[in-house]
Amino acid sequence: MLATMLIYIFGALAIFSGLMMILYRNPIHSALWFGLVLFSLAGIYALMQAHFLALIQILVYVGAITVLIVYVIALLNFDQRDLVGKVTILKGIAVIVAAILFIELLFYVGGLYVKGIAPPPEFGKAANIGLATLTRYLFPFEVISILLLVAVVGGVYIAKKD
Amino acid sequence: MNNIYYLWLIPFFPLVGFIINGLFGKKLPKPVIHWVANVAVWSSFTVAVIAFFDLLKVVPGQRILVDPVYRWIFTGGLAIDIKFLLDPLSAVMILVVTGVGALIHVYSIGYMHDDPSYYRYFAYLNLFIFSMSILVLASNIVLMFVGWEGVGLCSYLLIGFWFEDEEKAYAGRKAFITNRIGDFGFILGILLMLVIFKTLDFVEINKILIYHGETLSVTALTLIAIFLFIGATGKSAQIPLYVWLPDAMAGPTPVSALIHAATMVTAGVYMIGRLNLLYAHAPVAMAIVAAVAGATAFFAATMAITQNDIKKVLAYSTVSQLGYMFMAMGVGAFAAGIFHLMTHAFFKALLFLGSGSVIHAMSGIQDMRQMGGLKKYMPVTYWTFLTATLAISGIPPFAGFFSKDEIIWSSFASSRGGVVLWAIGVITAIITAFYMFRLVYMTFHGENRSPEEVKHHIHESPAVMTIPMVILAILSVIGGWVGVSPVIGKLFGVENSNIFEEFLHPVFAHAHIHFHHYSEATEWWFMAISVGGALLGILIAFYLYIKRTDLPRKIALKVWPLYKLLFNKYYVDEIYYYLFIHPIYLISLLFLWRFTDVYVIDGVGVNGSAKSVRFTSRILKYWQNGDAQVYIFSFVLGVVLVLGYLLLA
Amino acid sequence: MPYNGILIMAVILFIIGITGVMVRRNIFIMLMSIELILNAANLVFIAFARAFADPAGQVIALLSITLAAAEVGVGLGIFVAIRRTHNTVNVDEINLLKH
Repeated sequence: MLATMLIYIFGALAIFSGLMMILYRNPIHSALWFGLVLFSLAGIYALMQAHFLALIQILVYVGAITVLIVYVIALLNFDQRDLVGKVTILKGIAVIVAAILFIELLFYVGGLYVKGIAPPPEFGKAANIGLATLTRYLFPFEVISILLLVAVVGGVYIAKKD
Repeated sequence: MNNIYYLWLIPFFPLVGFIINGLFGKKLPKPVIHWVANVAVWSSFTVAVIAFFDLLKVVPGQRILVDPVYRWIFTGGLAIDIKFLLDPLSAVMILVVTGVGALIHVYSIGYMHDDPSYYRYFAYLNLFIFSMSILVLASNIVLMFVGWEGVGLCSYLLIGFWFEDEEKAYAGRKAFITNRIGDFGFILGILLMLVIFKTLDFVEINKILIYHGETLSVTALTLIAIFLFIGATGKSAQIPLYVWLPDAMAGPTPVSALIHAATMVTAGVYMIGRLNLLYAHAPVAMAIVAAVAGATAFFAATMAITQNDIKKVLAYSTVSQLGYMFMAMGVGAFAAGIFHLMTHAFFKALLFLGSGSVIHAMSGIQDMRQMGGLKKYMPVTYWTFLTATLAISGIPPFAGFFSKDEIIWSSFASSRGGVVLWAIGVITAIITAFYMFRLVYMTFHGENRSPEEVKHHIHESPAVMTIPMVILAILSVIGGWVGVSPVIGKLFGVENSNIFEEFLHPVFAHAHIHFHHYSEATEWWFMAISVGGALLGILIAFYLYIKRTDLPRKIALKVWPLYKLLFNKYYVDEIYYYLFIHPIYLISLLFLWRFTDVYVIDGVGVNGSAKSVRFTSRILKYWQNGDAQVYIFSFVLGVVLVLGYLLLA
Repeated sequence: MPYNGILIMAVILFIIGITGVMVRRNIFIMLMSIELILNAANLVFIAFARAFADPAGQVIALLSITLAAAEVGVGLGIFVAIRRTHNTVNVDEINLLKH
């Protein structure tokens, strides 16, 4: 019961932070709100017996990605005038379309009822995930590592001064 | 039905020759060009002879040999093969085509020797032999039509061979377009055939006609026969589509000899011979054939009287002789028609080659009024030409006599003929003898009327030209001896003297045309009348053009309107011009071009579609503004629409 | 476990992400919105992994985090390059696709 309540609290926090993230003008602020979203989600992961994932979420997402984004924003040091947003008709329509999409998705999700089963206690441990990754999901794992390698090389190549 | 696996070689050799000369001829030296072309066509002739003797080995009743090469079209129960068929009829025809064709190839070496487009000429000539052998050997009517169109194309290319001359190019177009009109009828005939018989194979069609002929609709068969005959009137220059043939003389003379006298123009006759059973089942169509043929024979002969161009006379004479052949087909004397086709191929090819020799000697002059007295300059040409003239006039024992006499006699004796047709035949024979000897007298006898600068150059043609002429002259004499009427045969104590008809008999046996029986005396009398008529024509010509050379002009003045009418060929070209060509031209100009082409096709179709694309893209380009967020928005909108559709559906 | 609630949370996060991508013109915020969309998906994966006691969902979430890292790496590289050549980080001023 406590877990359920905590999930709802973390969820509300994540949604609130997400809204703040897209509403704030300054990308630095947005990035910090983004970090908060990730923290909240890590909490939900932990409550759902995905401890390893929660750890990765904090280490990789919050610790690496968010920090990297903040760092690049500070590095580029762009003109504050860029931050002045314009409200256009298209943006209004975009919000309406997004709202329609939301309602449509609710129709799909609302129709589901997931009961779920109780997983074994070792579920979500690093050993367990590592076993699955390196046996059944070895091929996707290898593919994603190649992708990562390509991204690293590509990122360096694109960003370097020529 | 036995197989004969080398028949495809007959069209194959000329095709190879065509490809070699057509692709590389420009760079080859002249001797190589004519050697390639001649070897190709002589090889075909050799194969044809071998095939002929192989055919003779078979029992007469089963002389149908086929060479299935390739299944060409196979769809919905309809199978059209590239399959060659050798029976007595196609054997005779292929021998004539390749034989005469080979001789004319040899002749062409001399005739065309200083033409700049030497390679093009021989390439076309080989292509013609290829197409013609396809036409002749075809075992179904679609393949025959392929050859039919192929020879039409070659005819067009060779009539307009000297296309720098506007008039000659026009003659080529005229031939092609006139033939297209006929071909339209031919196509309708093929389609109707497919509907009625469900097959287009000649052997199958004959089987159906033999065993179930009575159950088929006579109207449909008549329609098929008439449609196909319309095609034949185009290709074989019969009324009303004969107008292209006289103009076709614009081509090189050997071409006139090969295509427009000996082989291609007889394709229509051959086609009727091939489908003789079909025509036999359609008496009305046969009557139409006979009537059209009779009219053509007579009118073309009258037109030949007044012509002064040596080749034009021969052209009208060809139309007239083709009329004879169709007359034979129309009255059901199929063998006689094919017989005349063969002898005509010999002597008419010879006449054209002879005229070509004369034109060659006269430095290109074709007007007979400028000739005269050529006998002493070119004896070989004169004697061979005279042989052919006697043959076409029907003087025994030359080839033309036997075939023409058989046609005239059949037109009287056949249950489908009659005394009117016979009379037309005899009168035409008199006119034929007259105009042919008029030609001979004006060209070879009397005084030389040619201009001085031409006179010096008059010479006998080289051996490469005269040898084919001599061979054809020999054939013009003895060619008729294979089809001697039994009445004459009895005189010489020869049984079964008409070998030719006997050879062809299996092909035409099922047609069952009834011939009335008359006494031998009657037959002798009729023979005497036609020979007498021919002699009369020769005498008139002798009197008018040798004895009293002033008379023709006086007669012409006396019957001036008639003379003018004949001289202008009954104004048929003019009538066609005002009745068909001019209206079509106007419609094309005002409606098809200025309205349909400019407004509908260009305006609405071409520019309209371009404009509509431009208009649409003018609106759509605001979408495509390079702003990534608009693209994302479009993408999400698409997702929303698809999901919404799935939800509602 | 409130699976349905978690699903609805994921949907809301997804919609927030979509809206951010469509509405904001700062490329950093667009990038973070895309990350938000990815996280919404991860949430669903993990929820279902728990519901069916199947580690597959967690493995895929792991791979997806890796993908996000790669994406951010390349994306930030591009931003640096754009900043250098165009002197802006506003997506509506970057319309190379038009030319």
